[in-house]
Amino acid sequence: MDTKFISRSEEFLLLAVWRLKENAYGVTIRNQIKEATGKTWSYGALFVMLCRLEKKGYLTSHFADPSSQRGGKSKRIFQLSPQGIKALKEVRKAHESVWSGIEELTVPQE
Amino acid sequence: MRVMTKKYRHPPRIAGWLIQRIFPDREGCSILGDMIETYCYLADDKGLFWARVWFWGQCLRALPYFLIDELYWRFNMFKNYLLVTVRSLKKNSTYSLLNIIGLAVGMTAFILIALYVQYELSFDKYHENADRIYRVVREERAFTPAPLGPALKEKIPEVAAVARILRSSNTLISHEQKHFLEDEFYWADPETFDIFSIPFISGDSETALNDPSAIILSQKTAKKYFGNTEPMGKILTVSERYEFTVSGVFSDMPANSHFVMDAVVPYATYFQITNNDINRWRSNFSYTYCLLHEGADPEVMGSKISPVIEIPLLKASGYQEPYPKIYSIQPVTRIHLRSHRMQEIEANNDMKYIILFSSIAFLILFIACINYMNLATARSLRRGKEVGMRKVVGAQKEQLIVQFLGESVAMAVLAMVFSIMMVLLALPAFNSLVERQLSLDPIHNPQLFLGLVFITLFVGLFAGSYPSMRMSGFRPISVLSGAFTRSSKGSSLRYVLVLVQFSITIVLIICTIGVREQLKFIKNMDMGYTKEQIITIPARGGSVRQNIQSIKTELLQYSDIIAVSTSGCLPNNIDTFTSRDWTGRNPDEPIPIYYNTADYDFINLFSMQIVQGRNFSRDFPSDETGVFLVNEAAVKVAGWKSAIGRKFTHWRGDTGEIVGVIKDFHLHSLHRPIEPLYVFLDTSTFSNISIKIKSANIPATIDYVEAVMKKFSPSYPFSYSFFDEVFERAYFTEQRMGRVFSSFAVLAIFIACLGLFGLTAFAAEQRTKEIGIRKVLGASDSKIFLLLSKEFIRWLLLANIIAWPVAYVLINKWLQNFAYRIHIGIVIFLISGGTALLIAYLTVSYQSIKSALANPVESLRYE
Repeated sequence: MDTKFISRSEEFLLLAVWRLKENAYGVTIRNQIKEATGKTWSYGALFVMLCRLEKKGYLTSHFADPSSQRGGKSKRIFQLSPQGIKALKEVRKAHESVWSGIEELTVPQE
Repeated sequence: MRVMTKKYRHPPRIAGWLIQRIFPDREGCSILGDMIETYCYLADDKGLFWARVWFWGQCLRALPYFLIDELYWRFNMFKNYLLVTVRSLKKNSTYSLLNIIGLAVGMTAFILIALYVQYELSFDKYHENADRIYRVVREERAFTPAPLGPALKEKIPEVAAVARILRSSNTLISHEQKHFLEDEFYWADPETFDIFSIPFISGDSETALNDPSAIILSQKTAKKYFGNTEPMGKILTVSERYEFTVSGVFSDMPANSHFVMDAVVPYATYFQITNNDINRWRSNFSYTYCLLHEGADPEVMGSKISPVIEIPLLKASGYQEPYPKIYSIQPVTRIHLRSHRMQEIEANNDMKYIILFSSIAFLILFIACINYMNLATARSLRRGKEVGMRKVVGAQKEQLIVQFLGESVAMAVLAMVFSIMMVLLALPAFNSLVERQLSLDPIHNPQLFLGLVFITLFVGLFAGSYPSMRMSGFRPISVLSGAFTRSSKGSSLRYVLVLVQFSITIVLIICTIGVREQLKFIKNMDMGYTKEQIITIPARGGSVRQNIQSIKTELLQYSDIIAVSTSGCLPNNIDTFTSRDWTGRNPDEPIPIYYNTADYDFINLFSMQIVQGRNFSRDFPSDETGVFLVNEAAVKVAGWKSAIGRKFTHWRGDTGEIVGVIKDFHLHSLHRPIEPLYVFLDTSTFSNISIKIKSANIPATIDYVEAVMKKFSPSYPFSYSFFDEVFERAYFTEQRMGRVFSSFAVLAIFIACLGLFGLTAFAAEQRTKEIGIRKVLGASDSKIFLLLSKEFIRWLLLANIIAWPVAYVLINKWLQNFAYRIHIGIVIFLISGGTALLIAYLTVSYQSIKSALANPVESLRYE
């Protein structure tokens, strides 16, 4: 992305996927998000976001073998694409530059 | 990281199914898998119940995301369809314009006629109890005797209320210096306002007519006399003599009523003033309405009139069985369109015409839809590539159908917008054509609004049905390989559609010409009297009758007035008749005979001819005691060798000799044959004054007549008509039909030609190369022209063959309404067919000539 940064929730998702390495699929991503931010996402919201990120090219995915534990349904494993890593780096750089020099946020006194 | 559970539990089935429905394919599987995993964990951790609740919650929360996502893609697809539609509209702007104009014109015609039909069907339906109000009629007449009403109320239990009304049109009402002739002046029972829903603005509808000298007015009439001052309690003078006190004002009755009252006075007062017996069964001049009890069966009620009221009366007057059935009832809502009795309050419309107009509306809409189908299918080949491409990238047939249907609906919506504008522009003209005050007002007419939406959708879907089916069926491989530029498949269907269009059009043209010819025939027919240069004045008020001799003398002093005559009826419509044994052959068998009263100058003024005997004459002093003229028809019916010198009796009892026989003239409209008539010489009883004038300085003559009339009857407003206009008024319905027919025939031709134009353009374009090659090889321009036009011409000739018999049957059926009618000869058919052919040929030839003259170099280079 040249002009537009990824959104905050997209950033969370990409980071979660990156942290989970080979084990990034629906359940684990959702747990990771919950641990990191304390917010519980619904699967519907989660998948819509994941699909959108994949469509934008930040993520790639493949289907793992089905397991009986999941009622014979296969896992969809997500991975960061180089583009996704680039987007994360960009947003981090931007973060650091806009936050630089600010120690503590206080309300300005008049 | 969580510990995975080992045991699999099946999640709620419905929720699981829902998830798989909304997330298709493998994606749904993996989501469901993830959810099941969490579900099993939760079930172990918190219990099955909470797990279920959670699962359902997840499922429901997924819905909005899914829907938004879905809509997003739908919208994207829609955007694409819209884009393609707009592009193809722009790219083929002529063709799109033809299409939209055709549809819009068709819709305009349809909406106009629909407005009219809706209005005509709405007559008298606004009454709260409309379904329970019935009118009692007597044989073929609308008039009933006065005592019938009370008898119905008393003897038939189904009847809840009865009201009698009696109209006196052209009644003079005066207030101080204001004099108006009230056309809608009624004598009515107070119950009228219980039966009909006529809301009162001031006064009490229960008691307003209780006082014999009370008068109640419609709002606009009250305003006419009293302006903005309070009308209640004011005095109005009726016919210069009788004083009535205003006791109520009601809101104006809607125009869609079979009678509209402006001033109402008590019914019983009429009998007091005129010294008539209100209990006399033999005088018929009132209309009787009754309101039935809720749930009462009108058929039962109708069948009771005969045994309960008629038969006792007939027995009392010495009648023997079998008793004739005289009275019947008709629902008030059916009067306007289905009652065609004599003595109707107002001229009614006819259901036949409503059906006819509706069929024309549908036919025109149909022609417009055919147009669209034709042009769209013809053009479809151009979009073959698009269809192929869409199919290759995975479009389903259904999606393509939806796309093309959507496109035609979009066209229909555009056409509707145009047509609403056209309707607004055309309404004033249309209103004067049908003599109604129609308006396009969706707020007060929600049905109309729904109707417009429905028509738009219907036209869009119907017109788009065939093209979309055809286009979605293209096979991508043949379309994309380029072998598809010209296909003869489907073109024959296009010609069949053209055939249908032109058949309908030719039928309309033939009917138009037929109606016109008949009307022309009526206008030019020798009626047996002259119509030109005669003005007629209705004679009103006692002073005119008393002073008629002075009036005549004064009128005749003016140099431009040739003759003056007074008579009961005008010769074009003698509607007074008496039924008795006037032939002297069979005393038990009454024969109807029409009569007219007239003065000495009547026969000469209207240039009638005396074939036997003589005219009324001042040279025979004995004439003054009363003598008769009869017409030839009367002599024939009576079977007299000679009528002259026979004794004859007027209906009042005056007797006298028949002095002459008038050559038959049409005493009614040409709908009816000539019937027996006698004319009684009576210089003091008349209702019309006819004045024969010179053709020069007509306005000055009329001014003079007005001055004379004002002198002798100052309070009556002066009014006059030209007799030839009065004459034509009798054929108003037919004239209106003729005008409506011709307007819509023109529209039909226009739409059909638009279609034909588009089709020829298309055919020529398709064959550009062929024409180029033919020309290079030496074909002449005229050969090419023939080649392009002959196909259409063949189908048009066939259209004539179909249309002629249909039109023949239709026009003859209409002509049955006339006792005197034209013969429909082959000429009319040839003219109509020729006209259609000529117009079509001109349409076709524009394109054909254009392509025939094109330089082959240009056409062969194209591609």
